[in-house]
Amino acid sequence: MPSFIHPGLAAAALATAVVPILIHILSRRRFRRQPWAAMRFLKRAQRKSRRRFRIEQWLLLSLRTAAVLLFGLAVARPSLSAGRVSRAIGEPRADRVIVLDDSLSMHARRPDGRSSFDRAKDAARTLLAQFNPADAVAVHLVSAGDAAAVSRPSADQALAARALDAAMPRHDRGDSAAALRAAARIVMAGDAPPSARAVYLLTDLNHRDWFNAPAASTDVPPAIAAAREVARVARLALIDCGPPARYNLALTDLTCEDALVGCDFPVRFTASIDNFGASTSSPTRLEVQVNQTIVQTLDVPAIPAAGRRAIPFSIRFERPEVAAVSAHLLQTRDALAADDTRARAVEVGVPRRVLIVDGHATAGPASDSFYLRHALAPRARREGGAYFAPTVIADVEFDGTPLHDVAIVALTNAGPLSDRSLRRLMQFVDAGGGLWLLPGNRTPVEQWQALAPRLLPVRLDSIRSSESDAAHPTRPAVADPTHPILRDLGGPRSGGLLSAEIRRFWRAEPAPSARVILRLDTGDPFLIEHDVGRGRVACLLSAPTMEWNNLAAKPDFVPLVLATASRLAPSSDSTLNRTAGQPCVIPVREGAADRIARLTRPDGSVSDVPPMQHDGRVAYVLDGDGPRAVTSVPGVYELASTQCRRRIAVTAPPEESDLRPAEPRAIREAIDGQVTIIDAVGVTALFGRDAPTSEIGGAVFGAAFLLVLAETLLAAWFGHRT
Amino acid sequence: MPATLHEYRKYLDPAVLARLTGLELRARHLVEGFVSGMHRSPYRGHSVEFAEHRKYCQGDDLRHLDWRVLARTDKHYVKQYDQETNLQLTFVVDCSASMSFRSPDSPLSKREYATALAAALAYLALRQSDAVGLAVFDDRVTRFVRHSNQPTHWKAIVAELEHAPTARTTRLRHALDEIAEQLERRHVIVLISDLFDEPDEILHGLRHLRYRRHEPIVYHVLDHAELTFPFQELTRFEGLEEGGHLLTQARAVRDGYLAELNAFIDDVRRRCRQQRVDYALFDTREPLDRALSVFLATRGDRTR
Repeated sequence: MPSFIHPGLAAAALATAVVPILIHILSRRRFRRQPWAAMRFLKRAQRKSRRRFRIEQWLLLSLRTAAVLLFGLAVARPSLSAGRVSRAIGEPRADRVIVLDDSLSMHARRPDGRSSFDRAKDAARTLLAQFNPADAVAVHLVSAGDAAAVSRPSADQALAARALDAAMPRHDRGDSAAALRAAARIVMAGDAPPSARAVYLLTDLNHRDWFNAPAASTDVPPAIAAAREVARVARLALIDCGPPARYNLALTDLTCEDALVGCDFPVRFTASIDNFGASTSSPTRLEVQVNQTIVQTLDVPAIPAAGRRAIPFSIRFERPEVAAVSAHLLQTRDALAADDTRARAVEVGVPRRVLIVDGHATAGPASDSFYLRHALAPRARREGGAYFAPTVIADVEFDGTPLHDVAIVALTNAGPLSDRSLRRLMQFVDAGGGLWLLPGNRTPVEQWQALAPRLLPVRLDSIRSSESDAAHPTRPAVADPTHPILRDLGGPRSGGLLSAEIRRFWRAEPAPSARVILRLDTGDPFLIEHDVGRGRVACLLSAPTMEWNNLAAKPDFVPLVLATASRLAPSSDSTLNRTAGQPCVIPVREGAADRIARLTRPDGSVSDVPPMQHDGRVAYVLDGDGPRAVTSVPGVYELASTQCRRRIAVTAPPEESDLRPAEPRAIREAIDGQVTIIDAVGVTALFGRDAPTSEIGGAVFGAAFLLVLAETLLAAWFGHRT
Repeated sequence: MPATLHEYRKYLDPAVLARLTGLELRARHLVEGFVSGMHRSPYRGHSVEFAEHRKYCQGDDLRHLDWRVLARTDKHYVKQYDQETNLQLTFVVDCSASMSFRSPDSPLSKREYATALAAALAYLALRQSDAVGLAVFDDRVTRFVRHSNQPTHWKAIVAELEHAPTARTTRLRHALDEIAEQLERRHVIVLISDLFDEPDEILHGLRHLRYRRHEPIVYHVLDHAELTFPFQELTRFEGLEEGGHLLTQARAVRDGYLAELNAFIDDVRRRCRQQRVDYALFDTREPLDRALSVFLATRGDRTR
């Protein structure tokens, strides 16, 4: 059965074939009248020629109808599946899309030194050479995902060849599902019928790509669903270009365990190493560097197959800076070398500014913020030892105080604020700042209630005190033991946080979105937080004075204050640590908006980065996936200007390290459609099975033309043309 | 009236003739036009009563040369005589419905052509003192005008031709039988018709005339379209005599029609020859002088 590139036109052609018949019928209604005397001769002639005339008319009408039908069908571009007849009369032509996996895992090398990507490119070139010159071809890269560079296959195969030549392996994660969906869209935009469409995915066929966790809404893995989509509209061939040995030991994570990184104390790090091989790995070593200087080398014991080993280590930093800590697995002899190194940038000893708005700002312990301020900035032994730099102002001074370099605003028993101050606070938190509320007896309840629930995590009710209620002082209790603020407090120890006496506190109703971290033994919430915009708000429902409680007298007070402050302060971690392919935005300090920074890449190359407007502020924007792709390669980048010096750690996506192959049979069964899975070596054999269909539009057009010619000649011979 | 006789020549053309109203006028012009172009010699008869001299022309019979004048004047003159006729001429004109057919390209209908021809021939015959009679028929003889050689008789003939009604179908056999029975003396009978009847019927009628010792002459008048069938498109032909109609693709039946018609004409011509009946086919677009020449030639044969 022939198929059509434009089935709608084929249907229209069928309808158009009725036109000659209609014309014939209508023409029978249009005639001239002629009075005639010699009727007897006419009738005799008519009797004799009637049968012949009818045969002639039917023959001509059939020819006309067939010619119109064939012209219409030729326009609809029919094609026949490959066969001797179709090959004889038609031109074999197909639309083909080559999808080239250029994700990080394609860097994996074979024993001969060739990478999976090299094999994929060679196989793609072989495919291109096997294609019929009339075929339309498109090349789509997996890294492009759903965003196809071309909208349809092009008849210019040189274009595809150039795209193949220009393709380079990347270091980011590949989304095969999105790439296959894009390929389906591209191939469907072509002219060929479904039987003459083909999609070739040249990939390493990693199990992770095909059978990773499905989306919540469906139980089908995304790549399988996308492959089914392709198989419905085209022939799908999966060409395995991966290495034969898939052993890979990967450094999949490097984390800083401490929220506050200073110069006084060792900072804890953990390197996670995964064995993606099928057997236990050999013991190896891990080399740790700080700013490209080796600081220690650690033993990595054998890791069982599919196992993970966490290697902890500590680093004492020498000076305040943005330091780059990197870890290197040595002598792994695995398939993928790109994931044997991992880096992390940490901001060391850079105190974060805390603006304390005190309702009773006096010198000495009488001040409502005295204990808080000292807890935030204990006397440091040397430069880089302080984590926070508190500044205390009176509530009336808040309006005139700039907030651009403030990380946290703490309102300790502050009185009413102006509307402008409230708007500034709202913008500050929305932009990522931290707000710490410590209400006291001067706190304006109505104003706070007006702020809830948009900004505040609680709705204040009334002050409860042990004197007025003749109740025993109440004590805090842990409401959420997993919360990061409580992680380092050490649990319910005598003399600790939980033994503090809370003499006064605000009774309050937590907002639905709020998280209660500490409660009082009365059941009332005590320490609450919630997120607002890009920032965070915390509320301790008792002023930090001895009149309200004796928290400051407890050893846990300082850790609680520091943990809460570090929780509220905007983290620079996400800015300084990026995955390959992600853009990196580093805000520019005020006054340095015109300074061009110099970027040094992991390979030592240097380029200038001018500041630019980004999301309403001036920043250095390092493109992750654009034409410049400045952060596309994992490693440590250094951005230096006269005002600052930043290191940025770009890491490889850990999921790309899992090279374990998927079973072709499992893929075939999962796709449940027509799919060919072969090794790249056998790509030429693909054409034995993947014979394209032949487009016979030209032959049909020729046949239609012959019919018209025959009809003309016959009509002339028969002596009548209508 | 035209100034000179030469100008009458144009009236031989049916297209010009069609512009003249009145059969009498048509016939006069037709004859004058014919006569003006004739060779001088054969117009006058060769009877016993001398009429005039005229100069000898090449082709004149030397028997009529006036030797006395030649001897006296040394010039060649031939003697001419007013012929005393012994011919009884009967024009039998078909006025059936089929004769009213006129195709768009033809200036005259078959009936107009036939009546003009009959009137002109009658005029010519009367000028030569032949006795002329007329019978008009369709499926029977509807009008009959007695024979006379008086010049005034011509107007009576013209009046009958003009006013004969058109109706009914052609029944040649009945009409010819009727005429054959009605005429007692030997007559030259000029039948002017489209002959749309069965050949056997026509032959029967002619044979009857021959049996009664008449000498029939058949002037077969057909429209140009009937002879050529120039139609191309789908046409509904509506019968003038037989009734009914036929919707057909004209191109498709053209060859068959012409074959049938030509076979009919050939058959009629062959049968006429077998019966020693003069036969002439006329196209209504054809100038009428040929008809007059045929008539004169035939008349010459009959009177010699």
